[in-house]
Amino acid sequence: MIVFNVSYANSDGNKFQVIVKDQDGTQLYQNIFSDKVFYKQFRLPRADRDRLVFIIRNGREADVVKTFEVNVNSRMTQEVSVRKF
Amino acid sequence: MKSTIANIRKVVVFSLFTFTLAGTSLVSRANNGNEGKKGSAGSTNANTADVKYITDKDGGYLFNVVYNNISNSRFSVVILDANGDQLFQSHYSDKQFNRKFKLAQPEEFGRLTFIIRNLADNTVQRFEVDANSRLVEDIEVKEVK
Repeated sequence: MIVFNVSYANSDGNKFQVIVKDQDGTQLYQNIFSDKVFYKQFRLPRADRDRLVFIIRNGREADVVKTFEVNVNSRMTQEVSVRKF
Repeated sequence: MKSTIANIRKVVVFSLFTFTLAGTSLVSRANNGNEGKKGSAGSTNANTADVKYITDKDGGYLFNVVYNNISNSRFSVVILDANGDQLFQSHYSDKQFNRKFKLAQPEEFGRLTFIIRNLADNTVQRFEVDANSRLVEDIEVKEVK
């Protein structure tokens, strides 16, 4: 899982949208909030995504767009223990 | 037919291990600082054996077997796999036995048992080696400006 903390200062308490998309533009999440102090944790399965885009849209100002690149390096590790009997 | 298969199998399992003579003495090994500290059991006091796991540079598995054979007796070193099948057996009489055993097929390594038996007093020292594999994923997330 990859965890993203999203916070947004919405002092007027207006409605805004939070949209999460992957590298193909596929929408992974969308919801509307009106919290004045918005904070939400997004837990996304790693899957094969290599890019995630978070968009905050309030309809009045330009979208806040944050794009993240995700690189995963997998490796096998082996732990060896020796016990004497 | 059965005996032929058994013979072939013996050859195959024997070839699983290659061993190299360690150039250092028992005393120097016992005083050695960190090598193989991670997977070590026993100590190198008199009459004791020790098996240590050493990370090989090539990613293989090396085991350093030390036996302080103060009585200069004949002894055997036997290595068994997880199923109890014998991978290696040999007899020695080195007073300060110190050899490294390399696992030739590390991908099949799950559990190994090292048995050092003193043939004079029939004392047995047994070491079990367990290996646990796990997948580690290093995830790097960076913001694209």
